[in-house]
Amino acid sequence: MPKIIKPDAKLERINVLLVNGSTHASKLLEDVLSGLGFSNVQVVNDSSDVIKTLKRRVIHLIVTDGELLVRKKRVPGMEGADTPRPEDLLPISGIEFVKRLRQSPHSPSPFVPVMMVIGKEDEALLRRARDAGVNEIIVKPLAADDICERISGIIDDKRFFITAESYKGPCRRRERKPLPAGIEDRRKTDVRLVRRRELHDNLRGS
Amino acid sequence: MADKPSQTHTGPIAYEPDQTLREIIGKDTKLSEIFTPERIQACQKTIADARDSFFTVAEGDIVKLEKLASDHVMAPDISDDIFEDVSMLAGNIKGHADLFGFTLVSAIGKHIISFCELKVRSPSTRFRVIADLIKMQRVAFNHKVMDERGALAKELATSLQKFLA
Repeated sequence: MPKIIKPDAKLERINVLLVNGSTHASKLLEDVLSGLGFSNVQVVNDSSDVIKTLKRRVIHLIVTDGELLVRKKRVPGMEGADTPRPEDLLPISGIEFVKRLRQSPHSPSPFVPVMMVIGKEDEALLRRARDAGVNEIIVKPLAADDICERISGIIDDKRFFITAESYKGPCRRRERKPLPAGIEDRRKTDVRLVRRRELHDNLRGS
Repeated sequence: MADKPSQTHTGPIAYEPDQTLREIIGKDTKLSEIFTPERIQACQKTIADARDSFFTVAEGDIVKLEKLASDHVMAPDISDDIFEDVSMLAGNIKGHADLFGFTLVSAIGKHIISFCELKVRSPSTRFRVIADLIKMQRVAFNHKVMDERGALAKELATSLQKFLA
């Protein structure tokens, strides 16, 4: 008889949103996350449900698929329009979904950590995921220890969240290496640092 | 957790790292106390069991694909709804196969989706190719081809590229 692993009390208050167009894949990922101790895992297979969910409740972590089609139709919320535009009727990839989540002015949760599951060690795909604003990437085939490592990486992520014209997401530099000689460090001059208290004050005021 | 970035500064903004998840689980909690070897082992077993039952669980999707193929392969025109149904089922199989590294099944699923979206050939021509790919998927299922190194998937991609050239 299989041994039943109970949810972890410390993970009970973490709301996880699992976005995957494949129902079988969603079920397995849900089982794995539950097995790791997460008890609040909500599964959605359509991006319209993602937006509705993000508007209704606080989500602490999104787990999504990079390549798999996430249906875009009937998703006016992200564009701020009342009716979907013709191009909204096409399917979108998980990478495009994250880009919109981070960059759309109508996004309900641009800062939420995102963990993306991608099909294989494809450098171009990895780069696209990173540039979309993904926090951590799991490369298939699935391995439980890898999933744990990535979740741990998100929990203790020490990277700043950057919003710039061309990018919104966690800082893409994982290591703080010195810049090459002759290159000016824009971070010291152009970048405005927002402390957490200031951010929360701004949010309360807006 | 923050919900909206500040709108007042036009240049790049660096927000301090968000510690919400760490605060929820407790600042002093060691992650190794949560993700114990016992939990990780149990999860790995869940993955292994799902991998072993992949071809049985995904059988329903391929049966539906075969039905769509046989119903429409001789039709003079194919509607976008049919292509969408095929794409959804193929995507379901692909996403599932990807999780376990079943490269050939995943690649066939990917090519079916591509042909559903490709607009360079007539719908009936595209659908005939899709029907052949579904037959190929059936063979992969019957023989439980895992193709974990991806050699067969590469061969298939090369053949399809030649067809499209």
